[in-house]
Amino acid sequence: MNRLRVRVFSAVAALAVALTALVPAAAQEAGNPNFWFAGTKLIFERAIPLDGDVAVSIRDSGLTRFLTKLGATIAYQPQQRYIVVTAADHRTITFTIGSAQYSAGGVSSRATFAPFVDGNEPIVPLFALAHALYVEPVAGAGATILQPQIGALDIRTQAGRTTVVIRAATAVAYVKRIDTPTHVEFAFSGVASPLTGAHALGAGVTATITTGGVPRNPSTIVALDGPGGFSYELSAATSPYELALTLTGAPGAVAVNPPAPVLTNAPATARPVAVAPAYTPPPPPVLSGTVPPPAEPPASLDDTSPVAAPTGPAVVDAVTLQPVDDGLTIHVVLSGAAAYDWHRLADQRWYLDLHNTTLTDAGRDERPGVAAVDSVRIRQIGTPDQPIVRIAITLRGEKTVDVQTAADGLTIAATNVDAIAALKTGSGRVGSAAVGDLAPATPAPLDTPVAPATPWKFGNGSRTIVLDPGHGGDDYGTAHNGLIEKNLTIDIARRLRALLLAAGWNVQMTRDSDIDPVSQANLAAMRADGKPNPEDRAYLQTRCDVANSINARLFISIHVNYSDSPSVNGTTFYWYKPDSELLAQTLEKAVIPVAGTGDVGPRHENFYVIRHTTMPSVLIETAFISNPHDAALLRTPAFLQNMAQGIANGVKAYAGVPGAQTSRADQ
Amino acid sequence: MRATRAVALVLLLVAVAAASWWFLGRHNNGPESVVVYYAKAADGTTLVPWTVSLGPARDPRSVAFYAAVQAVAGPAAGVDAVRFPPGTTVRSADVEGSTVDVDLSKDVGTDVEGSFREAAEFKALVYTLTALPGISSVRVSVAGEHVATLPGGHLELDEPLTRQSF
Repeated sequence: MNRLRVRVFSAVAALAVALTALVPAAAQEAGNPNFWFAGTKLIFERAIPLDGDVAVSIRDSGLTRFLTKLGATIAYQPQQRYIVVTAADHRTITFTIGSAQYSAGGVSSRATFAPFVDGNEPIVPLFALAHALYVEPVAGAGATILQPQIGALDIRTQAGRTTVVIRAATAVAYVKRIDTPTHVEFAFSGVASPLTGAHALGAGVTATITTGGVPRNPSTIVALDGPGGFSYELSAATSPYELALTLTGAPGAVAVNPPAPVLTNAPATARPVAVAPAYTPPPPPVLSGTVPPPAEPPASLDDTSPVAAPTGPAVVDAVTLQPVDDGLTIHVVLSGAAAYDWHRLADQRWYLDLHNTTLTDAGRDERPGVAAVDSVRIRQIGTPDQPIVRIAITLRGEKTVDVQTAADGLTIAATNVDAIAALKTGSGRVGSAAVGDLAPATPAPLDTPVAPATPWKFGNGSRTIVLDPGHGGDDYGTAHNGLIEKNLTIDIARRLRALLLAAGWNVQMTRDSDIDPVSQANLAAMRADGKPNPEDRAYLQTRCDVANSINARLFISIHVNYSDSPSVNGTTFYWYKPDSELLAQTLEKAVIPVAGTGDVGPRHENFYVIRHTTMPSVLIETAFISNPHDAALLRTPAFLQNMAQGIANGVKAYAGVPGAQTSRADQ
Repeated sequence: MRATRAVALVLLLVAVAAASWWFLGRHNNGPESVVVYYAKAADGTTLVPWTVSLGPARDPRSVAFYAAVQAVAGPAAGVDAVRFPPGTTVRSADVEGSTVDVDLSKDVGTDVEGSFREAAEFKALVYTLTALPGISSVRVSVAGEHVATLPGGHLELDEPLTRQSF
C-alpha cells in the first residue's frame, strides 16, 4: 500500500515539477491545494491530498516556513526511521517511517497514513503534524485555512500559588478588555481554541474560553471569574508563545472544583512549575573593611627540610603494597641511605618523605581495597637539587600507622586499629647508615588547621603563576546588564596580578590588553596536523602554552558566567585534572567569604584550558552577569578587588609563599 | 507418496517462516523507551531523568537519534531546565562501537555565554546517550565539522565525552 502511495506521490509530484518549470507561480498553485496560515498564503512545492490528509516532504520550503512561524524545528536522518518535530513549548512530535502511529508530547495518536520515503524525500501527513502543533485545518472559500489555536491551558499549584499558562501555536497577541476584582478578560487575536467552555483554575477562579471572528482571522476570549475576588500578575513568559498568570484568591476563597490540567503534555516525572521561585539574594557582600585572613598553614606541614642532615643521595628501587588482614603493608626498597620524616594530618591523611631520594619509577596511585586505607600515592617531588620521594596514605579513620626500618629499606604498616592519641609526626634515617629513630619530632598542635580532605597532589615549585583573563578582542564573552565579560576578566586579573606580585610571586598574563591571544606558530601547527577546527584550538592552546612553556606553578583562568535563569548566581571553581581539585577547593574557601557571592562550589568540568595545562589549573567563573545581585557586584570596583584578594588568599593558602618547594596543600 | 512429500514441504516452509518471523521479531525488539536527562536550571549540574516511549523503530541508530533529539529538545516548557540554544537540532546520530557520533546544527554555537549552559546542556546530552545499552561516549560535531570547542566556548569537544568528563 505504501509502495503504491509512493508511486502515486511520485507521479503527481513529477507532474507538479514539470508544470512548475513551465509557469512557476501559477503551476505551484495549480498543482497544490491552497493554504492560508496566519493571514498569508502558504505555498508548498508539493502537497498531495492523501487519505483525508495532505502529504508533504519535510524538506518542502512551505513546510519550513510553516514550522518557522510556529517556532518548531524538524529532525530527520536518512537510514533511520524517526522524524521528530520539536515544538516551541519543547514538546516533541514523533513520526515513524512506515507507521501511522505518532506521538505528540508523549500522547499517542494515529495519522490517516504512515509517513514514507519517496526517493530521498521523507513524506509526512501535514494535518496530523499541524494538529500536534496546535494548528487546525479549517475549510475556507477555495482554500484550507491552517488556523492557529490556543492549544493548552496548563494549571499548576505550588506553595499556595496557582499559575496558569496559556499556550498558543503562534506568538501570543492579546489585549486586556476588562479588569475588575472579580472578572478579568483577555482577548487573543489570530487564534481560535478547541478548549471552549469553563475550566476551574483553583484559588476560587474559573476560566471561560469562547471563540469568535472569522476562519482567516479568529479570536479567542479567556475570561477569569472569581466571585470572591482575586488578584493576578503576569509572570515572565518563557517563550513568546505563551502567557503566564499567577493567581491569588481572596482570603477564604475555595475552588469550586479541583483544578485539573487541560491538554498538558509535560512529562509526568517532571511536572513543571511555570514561575521560577522567588529569588532570595545572598547576604550582602563585604565591600569594604578588612579581608579575613586565610588560614595560616601549620609550620610543620610547610616544612619539607629534613629533620636530620640528608644522608643520600638514595634511590627508591621499588614500592610494593601488600594487604594484611584489613590493613596494608608498604615495603619501600631503597639503595643508599636517606633521612625521612612522617606526618599525620587531622583529616586522615598520613605521609612520609624520603629526603635526597629519587624514584626510579613513575609515581603512581593505588586503591588497595582494604578497610584501613582508602588510597596510596607515590610521587617524586622537591627539586632536582633536593629530590624527595613522598608516600602518602589516605586512611579510613584515625588508623594506626607504624614505620619500621628494614635491611633493604622501610616498612610502613597501616592497620585497621584506631590510633589513640596518635603521634602527629616522626623522623628517622634508613639505609646503610640507618639509625632507627621513631621518636616523634615536635608534635604539631592538635588544633592545627588542615587542608581539606581531598586526594593528594603535588606541585612543581615554580615561582610563576599564570593568570588567564577570559575572552578578549572580538570575543566579548558574555555581555548583559551593561557589562562585558572580557573587560571584567582583565580588570580582576590585573588586580590579582598586583596582589601576587606584592606577595613575591612572578606573574604572567595570557593577555594584558583587549586581544584574544593566538600564536601564529600554533595556528600553523594546528592547521598542519590535520585535526579539525584548528583556529579554535590554536586560540585556546596559546593560553595554555603560556603556562606550559614556563612550567608555571599554577594556572588561574578568570571568567564571568551567564544563565538564562536570572536567579542563578554565585562563584564556580572548575577543575579537570586530579591535581587541580584541591586548588579549586582551596580557592573556594578563600574566595567566598571575601567576595560575598553565592558558593556554587568546585565542579569537575572538561574545559579546554584547564585540561591542556600541565600544572594545577582552575577556571573561576566569578559571578553571574545575568543575576541582578551579581551584576550589581560586578559593577563595583570594590567587588572586583575583593574577588582578586580572595583568589590571592587562596593562592597563598594553597601554594604558601614563592620559593617553597611544596606547600601544605600539596601534601 | 507425492502427497506426503507435498505435506512435508509445506510443513517445512511453515516452520522456516515461523522461525524467521520469530527471529526477526526478536531482533527488532530494542528498548521500549529511553531515559532522557535534563540539567536543573537552578544549579546547572543536577540531572533529572525522565522516560520517553519509543516508536516502533528500535534499531540502535534510530534509538540513538531519537534519544539525542529528545535530549536537545529538553523537557516540556515550564520545566526549569538548562536548554540548548533555540533552533538547535540533531542533524544525525550514528553509533560506532560504544560511541555515538552526534552532529548538531550550528545553532548550538549561538549565544555561547559563560560556561554554565554549555556544561549543563552537554552533560545532559552525554548522560542521555550513555544511558543507552552499550554506549559509553559521545563525539560531538557541529554542522558536520568536528570542533575543539564551540565558538567562544569552554568545553573541550575535540575528543569523545564520557560521564567522567563532567
